[in-house]
Amino acid sequence: MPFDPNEIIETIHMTEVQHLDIRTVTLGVSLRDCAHPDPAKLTANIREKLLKTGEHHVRTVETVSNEYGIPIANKRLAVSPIAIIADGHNHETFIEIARTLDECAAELGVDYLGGFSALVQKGMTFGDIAMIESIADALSSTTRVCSSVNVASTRAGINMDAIGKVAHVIKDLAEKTEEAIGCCKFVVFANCVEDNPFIAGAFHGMSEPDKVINVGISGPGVVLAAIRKAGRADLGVLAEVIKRTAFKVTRMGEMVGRKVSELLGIPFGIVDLSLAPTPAEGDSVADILEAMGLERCGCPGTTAALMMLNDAVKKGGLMASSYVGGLSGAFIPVSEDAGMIRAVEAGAISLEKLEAMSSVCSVGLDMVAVPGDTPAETIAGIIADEAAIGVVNNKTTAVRIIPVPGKMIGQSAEYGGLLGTAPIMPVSRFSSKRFILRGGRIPAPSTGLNN
Amino acid sequence: MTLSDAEINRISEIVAGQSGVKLDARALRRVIDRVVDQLNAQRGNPEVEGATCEVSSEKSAKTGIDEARQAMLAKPSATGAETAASKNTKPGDPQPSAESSVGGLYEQIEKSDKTRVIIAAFGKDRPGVGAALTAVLAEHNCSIEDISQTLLQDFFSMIMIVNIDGCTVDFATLVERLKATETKLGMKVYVMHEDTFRYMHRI
Repeated sequence: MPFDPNEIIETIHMTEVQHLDIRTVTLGVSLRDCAHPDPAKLTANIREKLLKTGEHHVRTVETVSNEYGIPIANKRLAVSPIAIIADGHNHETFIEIARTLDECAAELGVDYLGGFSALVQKGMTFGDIAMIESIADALSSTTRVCSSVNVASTRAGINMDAIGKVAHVIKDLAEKTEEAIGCCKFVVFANCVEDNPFIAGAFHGMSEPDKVINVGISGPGVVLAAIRKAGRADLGVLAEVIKRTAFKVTRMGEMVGRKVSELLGIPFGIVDLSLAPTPAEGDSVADILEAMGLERCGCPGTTAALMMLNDAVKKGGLMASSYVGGLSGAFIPVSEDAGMIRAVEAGAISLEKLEAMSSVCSVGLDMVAVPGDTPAETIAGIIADEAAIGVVNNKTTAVRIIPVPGKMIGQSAEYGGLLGTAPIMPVSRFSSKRFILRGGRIPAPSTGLNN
Repeated sequence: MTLSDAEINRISEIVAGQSGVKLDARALRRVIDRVVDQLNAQRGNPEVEGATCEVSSEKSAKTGIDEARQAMLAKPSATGAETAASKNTKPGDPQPSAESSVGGLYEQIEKSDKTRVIIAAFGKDRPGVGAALTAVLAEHNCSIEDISQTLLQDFFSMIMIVNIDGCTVDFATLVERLKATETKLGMKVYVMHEDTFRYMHRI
């Protein structure tokens, strides 16, 4: 037999018991050829292109999933940043585009569509401004469209004007949607990547080909099981265990990406090596950190443990895939991770600790709920802090924060599904207002000037 | 041994002359390289020396690469070109796309000629477990290539490698039929393409 029966049992055990799945197969579609000065023609172009390119996506992904026995949780679309495609158009047109994208996503049967995005790390065009100001209305009148704004980069510095603007967008979005669920679909980036398959930050970069298949792996449950099995090993041995497991998980991503790409005749882009947790019991990054010996995620030692986990996952994954890209780092969303929720409820982890953790992993303050009366300037300050970590360390950071109206510390916001439950976390009561209102752009750090 | 571009073009012309099919030079080079690799492998392995090479004539396998080249020049359709090309570069597909040339390496490494699936069944031991599954496979013309069973106290596990090339129904239907035995037998049955295991456990 070409395979040891133990290998076969191991693989089946991974998918059946340890929640091994592919988190997402995302089809990136360029909309650059859809631009048109007439709004009706523009939306018609977008509609035509998306429906034609994405026609077989969902069915093909399902076929591959069944044939190879690997569950694939989500099928998604990513499009070119809409602020670029529709630059020059007004508020109403941007909302109309968001609705068109939403309809296309529904018709194609994809879970989410990312790319209602703007890249404004250095400055904003009129189109960027119109697009950012339309986000609250666009996301509150659609269900599948996700939006992102890149406000900083290592080469450009931090656009504080844009941060001030998006903080108000977040507050607006929270007011306009039930339990502020709209905020789950909006993320603010520093050093965003162009081939990220994960929602809400996915968009199809401007240097990407016409269409491309990107795959995001999952698998915290498998890593957790491997660590538990390793018992009282020292950290060097543990790193090795994680590496080996990450290799196997990534191989599944590589295989799924190749098979889907082959069947669709669309080039294979990248595998994103992010450990993405789900609210399912055992499929948690926080549980991994706790299995490594921490009493609760967030206690001293957490950042070091996370750094090791993140690094070992990358080392294992790099060998397993020919093209690694996207965000490629462990995710630490609060509401989507049962262990993380427990840590917040126990008071073991704070926004500040999460911020520290985001300097050693991908991507940042993700799915954190804060009291509804948190001022926009405080949210802007939180975004600026995250952006600073990303910019100076030459890495991606992000903020997906949910100021839930009317909710206070001790309560939580229920979203269900993969979005989970978000306990409200305390925020500093001291004001950042005067700093944020200065506006302008924080210059690029010297680390960005390495030519 | 590497053929020059001129030699490749010459072979391409002969193939075109004899079969009326114009092969893409790049595709042809891949085919020839593959044949040469196989011959080299055979020459380096005394056990199979002299045996009939899978993709070329008996003579060329015995006498080495130069003869193989001559044989190919003289009688292209009877040697490597057609057989080895049949999978990756069909003679009727003279213009392989850029992607297929990138994918070529992966196909060589990771694909076998057969479509095989792994069928695993686990559960409490009871009579007729193996018979029920193999009956479904026989009914649909699938051949079992390898089988392994273990019995640990009352817990029974059975793993089969099955070639489904001749299967009379599509994959989804086959899985459905196999899964239908689950309730009857009180077992869990898993069916996965062989590549899942190849990717995960082999480099």
